[in-house]
Amino acid sequence: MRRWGTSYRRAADILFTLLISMVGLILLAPHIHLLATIAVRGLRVILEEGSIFFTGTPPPPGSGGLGGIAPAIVGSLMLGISTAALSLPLALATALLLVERPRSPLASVARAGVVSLLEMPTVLVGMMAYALVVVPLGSHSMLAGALALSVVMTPYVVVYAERALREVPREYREAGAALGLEWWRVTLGVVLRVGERGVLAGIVMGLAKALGETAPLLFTLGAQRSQVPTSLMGPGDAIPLMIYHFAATPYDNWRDLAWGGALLLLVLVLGLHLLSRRMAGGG
Amino acid sequence: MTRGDRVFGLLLSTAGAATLGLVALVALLTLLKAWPALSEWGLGLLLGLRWAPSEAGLEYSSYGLLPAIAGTLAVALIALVLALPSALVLALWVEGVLPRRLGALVDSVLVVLAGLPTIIYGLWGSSVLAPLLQETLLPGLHGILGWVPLFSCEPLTGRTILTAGILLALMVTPFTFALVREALSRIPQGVKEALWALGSTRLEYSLHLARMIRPSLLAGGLIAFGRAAGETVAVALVVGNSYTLPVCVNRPGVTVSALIANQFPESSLYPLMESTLYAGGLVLLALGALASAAGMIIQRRMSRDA
Repeated sequence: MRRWGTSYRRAADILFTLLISMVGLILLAPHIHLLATIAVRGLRVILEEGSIFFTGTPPPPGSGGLGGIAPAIVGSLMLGISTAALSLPLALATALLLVERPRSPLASVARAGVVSLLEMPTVLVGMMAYALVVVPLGSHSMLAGALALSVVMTPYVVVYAERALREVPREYREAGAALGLEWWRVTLGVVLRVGERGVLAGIVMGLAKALGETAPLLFTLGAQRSQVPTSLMGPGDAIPLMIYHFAATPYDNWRDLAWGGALLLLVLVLGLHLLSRRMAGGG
Repeated sequence: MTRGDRVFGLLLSTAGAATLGLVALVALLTLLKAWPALSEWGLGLLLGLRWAPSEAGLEYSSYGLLPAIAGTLAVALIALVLALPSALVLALWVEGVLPRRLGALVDSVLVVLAGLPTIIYGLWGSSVLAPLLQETLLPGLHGILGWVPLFSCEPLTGRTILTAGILLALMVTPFTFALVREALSRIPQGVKEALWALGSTRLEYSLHLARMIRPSLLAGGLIAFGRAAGETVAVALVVGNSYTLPVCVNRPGVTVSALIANQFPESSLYPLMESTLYAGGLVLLALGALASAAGMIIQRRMSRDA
């Protein structure tokens, strides 16, 4: 057994271990409380309403009933699909550029762009989408929201996809070249295929980020919650936006819906994170 | 280099340029939209104290963004002061004190927390944290430290600058934890093993590691500050939205992002209000760019000394 030296050092060490563990637990406590509160309050709301929570629309403010948040749920799903469709081409191409031509000047440009996008305040992205889409079209739209979210999603996909593609061993590329394949065939047919799982995991992570964002939707979506959105060109709703608006109201039934929505959002985002980890780890 | 290769290369290059182009687009558009207000009021827009819109006409309205800018800085500063030590403590706890399995568990929890949508923090903050602080911390601080100008005003509501700062600290801590963990992982394994081999206690080990990552802590702090400054919905729900300077943190205040969130939807009704809000956005961009630039300079100086 190692000798620890003077008993003073040992005592200080034990005190330190106790103290830091206590402080660590205290620091974690608010976060755990947050997760627990969402679980408890959200579950109570969802269980009380049952399936209507997922299929109904919000009730009049202050009335007794609870209703549901179907417009927000459908809206988030629609946004998820359209955001991915809008962001993937740019994100994947940028990731491929960073992996295939890492030292080119354009790669440095792209890297700067990705880092800047990661840090950009999302409310500014929403303001930009408002100016470029909502104003010219004359109305709020899901499309504007999807465009704003795709700007938020792109850098995350780039980062994860680049990491995944970088891990593809160069032997694959060399084998492709040795077989006489052109560069683009090697990249798309071999490298991308081999790194597929990691890239998909990255897309899922980017989606998880985009679905949780609120600020880009504030001025673009139009918060239409009386009916389920049917087209991308019209206004709509989304779960984070619904939570934001209802949380700020004094009406209990609307606030309850916000808690229910928060639990739904939490489960959705956590589920996507787990899915992504499964995809990246298993492959 | 075949023709297919050339086309492919062109596509990739376009994508790379477009990525930076998006950033430039946001920045340029914000500048363009902010220009009318900036040229009308100049520096007074950033230094003025009143938010006085008027539908009657431009000569009756005046906008000054200083309370919002000061509020953003105050809230982000409080968040940084609370979050950076917290992240350091948590990282040292996980790295040097906890047994490996428990450390991995805490690490996973924090990774999950880092990915949480911020609106969830906002909901919890406005429903749970604000009322709690109104009953406990705010009167406590006013009672004990009331002689300090920062806490000298009587707290009337739970939605204050301090509340927003604390909520932001909670939001930013998991992310900062990841940054500190990354910095700790860059310390060569041989150095860590040498510390143990020389008979370090956990306390000594942790102190040594903390000393070694000092520049990274500074850089990470700047990144966290930038993150906190840009956060919108959670802050808007708890900051109180009172257009005053954050001289006393027990009182409600306002931040640039909260101001935008609240005023932007109706802003086209008032002459130049929308433009003023874009000017606020410009300030946010400048803050973020400054924080990143400072962080990069520190990192460059750090790698030069290494």
